[in-house]
Amino acid sequence: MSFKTVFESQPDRRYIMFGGKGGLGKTTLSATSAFWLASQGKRVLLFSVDPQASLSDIFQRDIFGKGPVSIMRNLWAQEVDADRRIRDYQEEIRKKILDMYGFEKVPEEIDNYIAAASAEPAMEESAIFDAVVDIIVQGDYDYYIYDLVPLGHALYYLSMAKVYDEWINKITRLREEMREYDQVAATMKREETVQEDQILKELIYIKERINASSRILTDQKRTAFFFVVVPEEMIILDTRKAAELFAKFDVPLSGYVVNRVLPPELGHGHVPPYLRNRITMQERYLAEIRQTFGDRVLASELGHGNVPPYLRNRITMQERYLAEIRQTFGDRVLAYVPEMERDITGLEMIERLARRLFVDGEGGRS
Amino acid sequence: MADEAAPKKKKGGFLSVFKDIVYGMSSHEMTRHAVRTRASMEHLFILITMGDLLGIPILPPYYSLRLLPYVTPQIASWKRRMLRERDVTDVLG
Amino acid sequence: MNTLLAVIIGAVTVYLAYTLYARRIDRHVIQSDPKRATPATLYMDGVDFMPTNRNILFGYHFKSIAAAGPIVGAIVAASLWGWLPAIIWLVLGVSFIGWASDYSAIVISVRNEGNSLSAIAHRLVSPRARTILFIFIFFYLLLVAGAFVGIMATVLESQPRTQLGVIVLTVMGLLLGQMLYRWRMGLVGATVLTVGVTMLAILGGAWTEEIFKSLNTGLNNLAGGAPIVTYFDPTLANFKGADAKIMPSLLFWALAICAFCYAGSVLPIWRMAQPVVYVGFWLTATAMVLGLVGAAAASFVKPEVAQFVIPAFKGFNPQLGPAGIMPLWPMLFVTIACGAISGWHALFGAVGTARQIENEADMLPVGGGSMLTEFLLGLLALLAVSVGAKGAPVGAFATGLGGFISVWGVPIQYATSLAFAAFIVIVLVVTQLLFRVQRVTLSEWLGDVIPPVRNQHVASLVSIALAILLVLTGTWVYLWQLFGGANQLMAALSLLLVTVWLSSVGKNWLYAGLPAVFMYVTTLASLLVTAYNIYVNVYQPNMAAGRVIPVIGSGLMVLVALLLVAAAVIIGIDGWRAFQRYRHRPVQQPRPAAVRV
Repeated sequence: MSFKTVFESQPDRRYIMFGGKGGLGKTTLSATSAFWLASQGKRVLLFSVDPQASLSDIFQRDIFGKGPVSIMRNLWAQEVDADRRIRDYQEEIRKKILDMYGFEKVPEEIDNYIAAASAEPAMEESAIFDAVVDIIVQGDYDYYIYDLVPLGHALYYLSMAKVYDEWINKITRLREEMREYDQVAATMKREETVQEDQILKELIYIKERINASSRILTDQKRTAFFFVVVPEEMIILDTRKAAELFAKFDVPLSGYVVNRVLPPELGHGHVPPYLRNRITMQERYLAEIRQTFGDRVLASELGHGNVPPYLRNRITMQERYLAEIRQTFGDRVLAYVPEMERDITGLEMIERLARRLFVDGEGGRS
Repeated sequence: MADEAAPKKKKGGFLSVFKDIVYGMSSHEMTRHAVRTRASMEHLFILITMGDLLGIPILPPYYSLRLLPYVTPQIASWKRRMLRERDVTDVLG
Repeated sequence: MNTLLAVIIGAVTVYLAYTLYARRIDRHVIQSDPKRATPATLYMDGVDFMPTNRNILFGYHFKSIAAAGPIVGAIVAASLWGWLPAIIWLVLGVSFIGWASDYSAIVISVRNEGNSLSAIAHRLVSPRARTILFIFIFFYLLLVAGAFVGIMATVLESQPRTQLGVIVLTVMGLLLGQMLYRWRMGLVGATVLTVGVTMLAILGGAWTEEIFKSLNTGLNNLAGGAPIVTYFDPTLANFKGADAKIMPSLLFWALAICAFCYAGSVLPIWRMAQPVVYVGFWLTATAMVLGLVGAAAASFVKPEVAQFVIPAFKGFNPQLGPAGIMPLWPMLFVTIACGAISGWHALFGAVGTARQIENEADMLPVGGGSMLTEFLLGLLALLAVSVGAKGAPVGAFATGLGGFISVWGVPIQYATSLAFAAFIVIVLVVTQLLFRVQRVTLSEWLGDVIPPVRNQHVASLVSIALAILLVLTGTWVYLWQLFGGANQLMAALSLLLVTVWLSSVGKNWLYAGLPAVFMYVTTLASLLVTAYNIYVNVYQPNMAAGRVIPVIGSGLMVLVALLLVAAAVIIGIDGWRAFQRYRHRPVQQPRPAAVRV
């Protein structure tokens, strides 16, 4: 199965996510997919919560914290400024306290609490996921492509989502029980009505939000999750572990994309026989995999000629790891993305990569 | 014995004093129980939702902040009650 | 003597004690200040601290202290010494000791940040004072539970007309809890329905009389007519003492009461315990109000029910049992506790009522006013016994109260049914709460040392088993007096604590100090007398006859009495030392007089 067919065969999967360790090219791949889908006439929102503003970099314009910005026909990009969101949110809470009780200033104890809560690492995760829910709930796009936060964060959130859900159910029940006592006290005092429990309302809201965000991550029908890997040992190991964990949380894994594949043609230069053999072997295996599973391997040439030893070593290593990737992830590897000759920034480069990934049938061996 | 309990106060008069006393005798205990149970649940609730202050990250902090305005007035009494020394006779009240 | 005169004496007592004495103490010694913020307003948390209107609080405090104590105490005392000593003790006790105890416990808690008496004792007297107070509480609960289960089982077994009402009360209590908490019914409708049906069942007790009679007979026949326990009871045969038998039917009713209390203790409090109290309140309040007004009116309307038929005075030291002694002093003063003074009130007032006091000016009407009102209840009970005379002590009370109620035109048999039911209900609702409190106390107190008692079922069953053991010893009067001793020791302790506190803040301590000394000496003496009585009248005869259960039970009672004496001596020494310490060097009050905003 190829990257393209994944999209074409499962049109309901409107929430596209790319996961993987930082710096593996998730942004590149999500931008490429977004570009391709948009050029197919789908309305696409590509969004990111990366504080490094990687979408701004790739599209070469500043969209950080500006809401959805139109990039081209059918394609919008949005970069959430999580820090500012948290800051605004803190202010909102403070203002609410002042308004509700007519205080001159927020009591010190409470203010300290707000500061302490905001300094926690979990604060950012939960703020980010809330932002994601906001984006998905509000828009009317055909596709939402989420340049996901690094794996650890996603995992943390996923693991907590179930716990949160149970907790909130418990708390909500506690709150409902409290309401019963309220009503009985009112009956006993023969008072007419009980004030509506605002907290109960908030809890129901929070429950919906948390459910929504964990649902987005785990919805088998509407979500496609891609792992981005590169042929390096540590990355493969980490990804394998993460994949097991994701499976445990019912994340619908749609496949793996191997990025930064150095073109095997390098091996045609003056290289030692050993390396040449290895490259030949790799080709044989790649061919076999393509034949068996119909995978598409994308690679680009870096040109022939004399290859410096450093690069040669890299290629050797890469061959080994590619084999390992195939062994580990098997037919779920959807694409092998070539290392391009320069940074992928700007629509032009994105278009080139998209063509290779989605259009050129032979895996970009042009 | 209403005259013992009631100051010779203004209007509302005898009837409302009498009503209060009868309420105090018949229902106050049940009301108090309901109100107290509710309030101690409120404190439990604060502990659960604001527990990350004590290092127990139970609710995502982003959402616990959302609840903070509603429990602001209770935070002080909650802390005081948690810290208050209690002994066996407290169960009598 | 007639009932009108007694009611007048009662009203005058209350009026004089309140205006001439109590109010003066409140103004000049305590100097209650309406501008000073109370713990309820300072620390309001909606759980323990909650400012409450003084009228409501008066009703609440009165209902909480007005339990079965004044009735049972009056019944026993009148039959031992006659009505005159009892009425004198009631009047003097409440005027000079009773109100001061209830009031001062509230004051001391309000002025000490709403702390419980045990916490204040810990700080002011000695750390072990708190532990000793726990011991008092524990045995107090145990003894009173045993005494109440015993007296109720006797009444239920011997009065087959009363049982229907109790059963229906239980059902209606459960129903009311359901109505309020689950079905969200209005209070008035639910009250009218449940109280009405219960009242009907009480009045219609005769319908099922035969059924319950044959139940008793059936149970006894089942055991072949053999008693479960035989014991030597010194109160039988005109106080000469004779063998008595506990039949299966009595044990059955004792166990039925325990099952009721067990449910009340382990079910959520709103399910059963509180609704039963609530329904019971309306029934007993009806009977008491009708009875009190009836007692005053009887002299004019129906003089034949207002005649005192028991002797005014039976002697200073009636013989009880083969070798027993029952000297008026100190025994009268522990036999009648709650109508004159009770330590339980102080204990409860400090944690329950004091934390709801909204204004210092409310302390006297709530604390003192409630106690003086409770005195009227004790007086009514005494009057009822004095005019009733027929049957056993409880029967005398019911006959007398029924007579007063009949003044309103209620046929006498219904009035008596209501009076019997009022007695049982008031004792029953208290007993179930006692077991609940005892369960909690047990698991809080011993839970760390003996983990199993933290389980509510274990703790409840332990409490119930101990109470049943006491019932089976059959020496009910001693059990009651032992309870009175524990209770009055708590009163002495609370007064002692108040005295220490007064001297620590440089106030005149005489109004609490003199009663404290009196109560302390009296209760110590009474405990020793009771221990002696149990030993010579119960323990020895039963030991001689080789009866195991009464021997264990009465041995336990002697042990408890001596333990209480030892605890009281320790706390007396500690209290005296603390008193001397503060008298020479008063400390300023820890809490600044924060002004209410």
